[in-house]
Amino acid sequence: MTETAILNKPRFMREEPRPAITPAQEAAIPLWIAEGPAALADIRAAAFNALRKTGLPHSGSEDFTFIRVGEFLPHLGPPAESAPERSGDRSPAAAEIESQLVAEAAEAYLVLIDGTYHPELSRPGSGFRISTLSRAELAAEARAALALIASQETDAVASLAMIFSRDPLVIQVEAGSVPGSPLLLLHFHTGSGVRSDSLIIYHGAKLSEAVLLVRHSTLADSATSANAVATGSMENVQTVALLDEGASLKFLEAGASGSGESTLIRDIHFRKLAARLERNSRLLAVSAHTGSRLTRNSFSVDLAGEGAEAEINGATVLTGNRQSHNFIRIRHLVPHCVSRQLFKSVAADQSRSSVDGTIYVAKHAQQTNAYQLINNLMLSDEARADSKPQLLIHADDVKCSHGSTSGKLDPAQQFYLESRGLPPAQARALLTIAFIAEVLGKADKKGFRAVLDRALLDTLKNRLPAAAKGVSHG
Amino acid sequence: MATADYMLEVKDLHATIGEESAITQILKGINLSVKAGEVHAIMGPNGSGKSTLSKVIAGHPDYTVSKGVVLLNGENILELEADERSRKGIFLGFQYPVEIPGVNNAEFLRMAYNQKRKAEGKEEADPLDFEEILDARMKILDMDDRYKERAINEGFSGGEKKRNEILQMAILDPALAILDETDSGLDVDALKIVAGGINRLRGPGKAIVLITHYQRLLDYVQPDVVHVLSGGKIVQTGDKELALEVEKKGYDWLVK
Repeated sequence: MTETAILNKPRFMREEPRPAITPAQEAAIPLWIAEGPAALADIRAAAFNALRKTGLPHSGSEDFTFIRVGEFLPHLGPPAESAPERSGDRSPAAAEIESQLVAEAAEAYLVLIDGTYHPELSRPGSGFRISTLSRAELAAEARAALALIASQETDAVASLAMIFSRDPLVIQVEAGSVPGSPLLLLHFHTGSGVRSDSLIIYHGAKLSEAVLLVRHSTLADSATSANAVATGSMENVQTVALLDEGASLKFLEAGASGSGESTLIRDIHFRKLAARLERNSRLLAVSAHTGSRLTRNSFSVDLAGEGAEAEINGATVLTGNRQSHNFIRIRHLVPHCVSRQLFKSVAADQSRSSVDGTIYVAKHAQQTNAYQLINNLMLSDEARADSKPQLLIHADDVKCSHGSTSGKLDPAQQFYLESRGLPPAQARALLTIAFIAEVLGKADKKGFRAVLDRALLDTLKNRLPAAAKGVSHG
Repeated sequence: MATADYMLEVKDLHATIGEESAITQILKGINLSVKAGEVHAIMGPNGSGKSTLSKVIAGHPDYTVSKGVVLLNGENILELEADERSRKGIFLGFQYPVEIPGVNNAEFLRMAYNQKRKAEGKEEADPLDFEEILDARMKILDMDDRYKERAINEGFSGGEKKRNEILQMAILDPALAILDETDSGLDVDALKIVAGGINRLRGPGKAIVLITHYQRLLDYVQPDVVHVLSGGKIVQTGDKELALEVEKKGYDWLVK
């Protein structure tokens, strides 16, 4: 079976006519590609073809089961070229960059503003080759893999990121190279009331090993235009990771932080990690979020070489009426690969979370070992958490398991702690924090872990009774 | 008042589990009096109510006391929550300690220790002072440093979990320790270490109730009194010879 055949839509998908892309897009995109750098044209064209095939999301889209498509559809037109506050008009001050740094990567960080790489604000560290796609010397195989991902994309929003990202940042680690420190990607979003599209490409050559830390923040004095206030902004960030034989990547991402609490209530965040793993390569991803008006975290991982291993973890703490939706597709295309997923959400108030995760095992991918667990902790009767774990298995000699739980705290654990003298409120706080800390603990970089703790655990502590103040975490 | 001579007095204790249509009576009139300084052993067949008795004394919310009282140093504790009972000096060593991923073992021990200190009107121990206390106790129990880094009981073997229970007991230094089958799942070497930990708690102001299936533990922790619990009642009380007899003859001769 060829890989293209595998990509055919699963049988359960409804075969209804899909809405096409808008006439404005149909007209604007070929022009945009033709006027852009020649070196980007093939990738953009592949993404455009995929977009035309998929069409824009609609209310029946399988990929958006738990999201009201109408919430973000108005943002999917061609990016507004004329928006006055486009990228570059507002740069982060030194102090703003400083505030986003973490101990492990104080000397190795890249600044992106609405997806555009700013070398003058960055310190690339050593061991990473930094470029942009129009200038990068990307190995032929990596370029082919990138084109494949672009052409196979079934997520229209991800296709838009590939088409409209200005000149995508390319990070490469050479064969056998192990950079001494992680590289921190600082995404600054101007939140100018329009959609910003970003594509970041990571290529880890044979036996390379690296850590990427990712932070997002909204610039303080942005999002003040009437347009931004009225509609909110949409951040559309896609990261593509191409891992050659034996390469290893840790990808640790913290959701929005920094200045704009008010912008979070307005803004839409679409983030995607698309990865292709060759033989014996390894990917560990940890993504921790506190949501926004609408946040969608998508993971698409192809295990394309035998012995490849992917571990994808997500932690979400939601308060107010924020939303966060995780969407995961893991495809075991060859034998002897391992994938593990752990997604945990804490939902308070009227917040909404969902995890829609599918493990696909191709016919010849024998000896696959795949595991998926979704745990939701509900702190309020009005909160909502949806889970849709799915296995699509075409091979007959595999070990696959999945599970999903939603509920309140475990009374046995609570009794255990109380029987040791902890007051009920303190026991509950400790267990709630522990629930989410299990995922955060997988981000084994101390300084970055502290960022995640501040973002997620402080959100929780503010929600929990005063007893939580004495609770720290290991 | 004679009552004050006893650390623990259980009088005509009846307890049930379940709600409305599915209520099961488990304890059917338990009487038990333990003096300070004593070690009591409770033996009995499976399902006789031994674990229930320990949980009811500790304040487990799943059980309803339908009749009777439990006095600690003369004070009825049945109205108190589990955490309040703990701070009054009751410790339950669980038969099956739960795993709590994400809660660091040492951190948890410090929080529990400080709650106890607060209840006694003492200042909280700072982390360094506490570490010294913890290290000393862990050394006695032959536990290595990794226990401190790990989450509570997560991935522990059965024996490790039991040792961790005894460590918690050693840290909290309770007036009354009820140890529910702390010896099961231990090999002889581990049993000796755990027994050593239990014996260290023995003292004039302390009482220990050992729930066990096996006489073996009682070779290392000599009980003052041995009870046999069956069908939710104590059917026989004697000295340590009773345990030997039970080991030899089983329970059938006591339970008709």
